[in-house]
Amino acid sequence: MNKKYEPIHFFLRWCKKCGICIAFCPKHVLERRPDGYPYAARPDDCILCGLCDIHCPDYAITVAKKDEFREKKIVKEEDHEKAQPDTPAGQ
Amino acid sequence: MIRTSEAIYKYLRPDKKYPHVWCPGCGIGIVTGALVRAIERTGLTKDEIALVSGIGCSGRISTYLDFNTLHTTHGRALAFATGLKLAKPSLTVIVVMGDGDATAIGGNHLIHSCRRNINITSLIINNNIYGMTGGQYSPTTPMNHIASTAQYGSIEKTFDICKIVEACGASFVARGTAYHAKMLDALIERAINKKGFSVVEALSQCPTQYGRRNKLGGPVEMLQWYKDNAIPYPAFKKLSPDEIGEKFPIGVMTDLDEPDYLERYNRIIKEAGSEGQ
Amino acid sequence: MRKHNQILLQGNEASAMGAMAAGMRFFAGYPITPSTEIAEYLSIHLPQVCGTFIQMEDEISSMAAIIGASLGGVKSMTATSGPGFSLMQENLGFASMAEIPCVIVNVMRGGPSTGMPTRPGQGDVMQSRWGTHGDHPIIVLCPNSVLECYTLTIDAFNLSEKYRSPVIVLMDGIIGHMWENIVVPENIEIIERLEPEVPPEWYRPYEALPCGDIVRLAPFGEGYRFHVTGMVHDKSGFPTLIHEEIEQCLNKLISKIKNNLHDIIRIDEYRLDDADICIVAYGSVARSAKEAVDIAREEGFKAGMLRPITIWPFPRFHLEDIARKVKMIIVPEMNYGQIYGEILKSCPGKTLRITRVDGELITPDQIMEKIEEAVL
Repeated sequence: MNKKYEPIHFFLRWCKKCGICIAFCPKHVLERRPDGYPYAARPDDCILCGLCDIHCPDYAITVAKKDEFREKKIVKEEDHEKAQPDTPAGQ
Repeated sequence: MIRTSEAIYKYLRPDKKYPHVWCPGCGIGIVTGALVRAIERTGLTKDEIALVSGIGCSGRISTYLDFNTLHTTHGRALAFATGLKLAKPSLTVIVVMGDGDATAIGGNHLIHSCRRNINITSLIINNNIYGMTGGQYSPTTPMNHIASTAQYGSIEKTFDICKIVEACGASFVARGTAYHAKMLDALIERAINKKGFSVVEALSQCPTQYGRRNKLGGPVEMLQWYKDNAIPYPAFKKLSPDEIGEKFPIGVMTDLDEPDYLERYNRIIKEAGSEGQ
Repeated sequence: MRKHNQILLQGNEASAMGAMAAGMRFFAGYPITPSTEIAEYLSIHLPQVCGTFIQMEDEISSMAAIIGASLGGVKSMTATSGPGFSLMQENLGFASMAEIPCVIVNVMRGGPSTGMPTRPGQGDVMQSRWGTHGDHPIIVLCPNSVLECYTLTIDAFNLSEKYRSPVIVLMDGIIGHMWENIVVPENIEIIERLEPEVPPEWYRPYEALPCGDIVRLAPFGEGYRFHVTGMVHDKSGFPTLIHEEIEQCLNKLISKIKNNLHDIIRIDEYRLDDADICIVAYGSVARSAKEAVDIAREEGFKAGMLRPITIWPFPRFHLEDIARKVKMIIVPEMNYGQIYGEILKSCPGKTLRITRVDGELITPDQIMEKIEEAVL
């Protein structure tokens, strides 16, 4: 488990590529991938302000300090696994 | 700071379809995040909260959140909520409405709820358009702006929701925007804790139906516009008419301590001579 | 001779008293002639039992508020007349769809539109059945005396709780404003709302149970967090677009009433055993019809009366039974024949109508004339 610490976690299956996180990052940490999804191009510049986290309309971004990730397990992949569609939400 | 992602898994219904129904860049998701963070801050349990919504894009919030949820008819959310609150005062009743929902079809219920000062929190998500039906003009669509039913530009004056509810007697009136998301959850928290009728107007971008039609850019540009033009209420009051232009006030505009409807109704019960049950 | 426990009551008051006896503790309404006495009575008496009376801004919100209150676990009611009833249709449909128990008293006046506020009519019969859009179930009870205003309002609450459906008490202006001495009946069975049989995690508020039982409605705030919507929903209450679930949702709505007609339908038969002529009448007209039956019998005509007390669902099977035995059915109504049309569906060929829409009562003489005309 020597994975490098990333302050910003993207949960891309909920991301709609609106670009809000990229535009309003005060430190310009984020950029678009060629497919439109955001990624942390300069993670070391992140000041953990959380603006991208609270501005994401789709709850697809989590910003956390290193120890928070470990202790609180904020992003639990298994929770997302449960969230599979079963009822359509059309108009 | 409570992050959305921390609170969201606690309050979202895990068995619903995600990503949610709203368009890419829609502000309703941001406002819902603020609502959830505000609820987290109040420390209320899920069972103590009833979330009542109307019809339209904003009406969909009730489907996603794991409270006692009531998805009512168009414009009537406040009327349903009034019955619910009076029948079960122990519930914290939060009503989520859109601009058309709250001020057009539900305008009458809005002003009378203010007048009664019933202890309900209403969150009015104002995106200046009827989004779900395809972008028709609403009472908050700015004059001369284009909508699918105002192809030559709207010729109707707009409502200032905060001024209306203030004039009608709401105890707490505040405005936030999707850009000022952090401030928004503080406003909503205060509104929930407020005894009496409280209104938070949350300006929220609709890039799909409103922004695109009016060449306001995408979600980013629309949020930027909120950022550039929102002025804290105390500073806004000092602006001269020339300085105001497109600027609008945000923050708490009214915060009164007045007896709410239930307090006054208890006086009736006492006067009617019943022995408390 | 006056019995010691007799009281003089108006139909509207009796209905309000019945509601309170049934345990109604939330009333929302808007003033309208000829139903206002109900609201006035309750504004005095509900606070005495810690109940809630609220005068809303219109009938739309009144209907909405009683649905909200019912979800809070409190038996609730509203009262109105034609124009207000029109405004209530929107949320009446919601109550039907979301299966929320509540009672609506409609004291009918002459219509359409503002019509005749102070004159009676029976023009809302079809509106009470089909006023709100879409196929939906409804139960409508029609009292014809002050005593029945009392007992049927209680009945309405019982049916409403039992079948999780809105129930309409359809009075006409005459019944609502009529004064009679009644002995308030005691020991009427009251059906209370019971808590769900299962713990929250097992609770499916809209599940269609094969045994025909109806899932009990949990009040908000008691640990049963669920979703209530006017949209077509699945068994948990969430919107659905899956064909099977849509069908199940709508079928269940209709069948819960259709499978229980024997329990829901109430009728009153008068001198029908050997009758050749059957008068079908409801509400105040049934009082004239009863008198007409007596006069006809004295004059040698074998007349009888069928009075549907439950007018929706319509007691079709009872009517068809009677139709086989009688030669003629006469339907007097204070409208252009709304129930007459319903009867024509099952008994074409021998049904006659008497219509009166001038704001006056149908008299026994008027019915007699028709009987004589029919026999000749």
